[in-house]
Amino acid sequence: MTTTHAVRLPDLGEVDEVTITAWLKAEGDAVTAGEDLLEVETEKTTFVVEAPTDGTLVRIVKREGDKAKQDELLAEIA
Amino acid sequence: MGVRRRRSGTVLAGDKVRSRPDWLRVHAPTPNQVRDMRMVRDVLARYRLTTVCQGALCPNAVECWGARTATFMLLGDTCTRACRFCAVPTGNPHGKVDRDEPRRVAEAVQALGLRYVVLTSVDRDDLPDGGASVFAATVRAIKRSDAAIRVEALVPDFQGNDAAIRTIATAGADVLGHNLETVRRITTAVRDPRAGYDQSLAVLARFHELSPTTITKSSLMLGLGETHAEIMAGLRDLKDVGVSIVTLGQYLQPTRTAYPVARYVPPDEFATLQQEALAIGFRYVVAGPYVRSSYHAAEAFAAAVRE
Repeated sequence: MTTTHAVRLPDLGEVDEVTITAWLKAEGDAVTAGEDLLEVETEKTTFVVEAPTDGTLVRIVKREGDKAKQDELLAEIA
Repeated sequence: MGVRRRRSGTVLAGDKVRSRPDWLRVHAPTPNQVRDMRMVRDVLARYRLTTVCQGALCPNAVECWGARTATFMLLGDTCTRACRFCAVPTGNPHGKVDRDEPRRVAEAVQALGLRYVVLTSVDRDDLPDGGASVFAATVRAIKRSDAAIRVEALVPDFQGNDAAIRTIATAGADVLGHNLETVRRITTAVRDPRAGYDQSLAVLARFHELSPTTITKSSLMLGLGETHAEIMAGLRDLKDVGVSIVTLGQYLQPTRTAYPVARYVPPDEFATLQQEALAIGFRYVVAGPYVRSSYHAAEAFAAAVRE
């Protein structure tokens, strides 16, 4: 039994909504805490979101081109 | 799904979704930075204040707020001008002024423990003095609360109104700033018709005449379509009116309808421009893709004073 860890969109300051622009890992890839996981863009800025924990990227919820708001589920790491 | 492996310094071929080069990426805030950022946001809300960090959707908000630095935007959140590079809403505030704002800014500065404060404002062409009296009162309120706090006043052009410029120049700010924004040729395309290249230079020249020992500062956005020769001409014009500190940063289109980015200037070009600007004789030059006029302002001031 493994527990899954949610990857959520962090508070990016004065940002309403972002577009997911690049996943730097694929489903099934091993990830380590602090490793670059995906990129999201606002009209003005590109943010790199890091993996919050060690594990395997088991599920990508928001795909490239999808929109997301703060605290929305982006992926799961198990 | 195809995974795009990142290669440093390049936008990947066939990439339809990503729109910016790698050097413009920033890391999402850590939980500690988020906590500090929320603390700043709470204080600003409590004192009913606006920052340009919010108004301009600044990409450095995470870093600056995390370091407990903020640039206050005085005189409301509505600007009477419609510059095409800016995200601040345009409108007519009909002469409405919050006379209590200077006191609240000084209290927020204390609450945040700031040692270096940048004050800026919207343009207030609806006011006879362009808001200069409120601006000056805010500088004085902060200095009254603690004379050791450094204050940088980044002001509008006041349509060249000399009384307004004098009000600012004599308020006691440590740095007097006014942004030239872009090179001469592109000024009319991106700035409001009431702004002007020569008018901005005149404001900076007047600050230097009225308060020759006070450091003056200005800023250019790059990537609007200017040539290297035009940038150098702009820098020489700023030097000629006595400016000590310049900042050079990448223009980023804040909204879909704003002026488009013509080019992303690579970091090595910023590094070269920094050296070229220093060779012209500026005391301090901050240059880089994410540099904004108040970015690392405390360091720039300290270095310029040492010079």
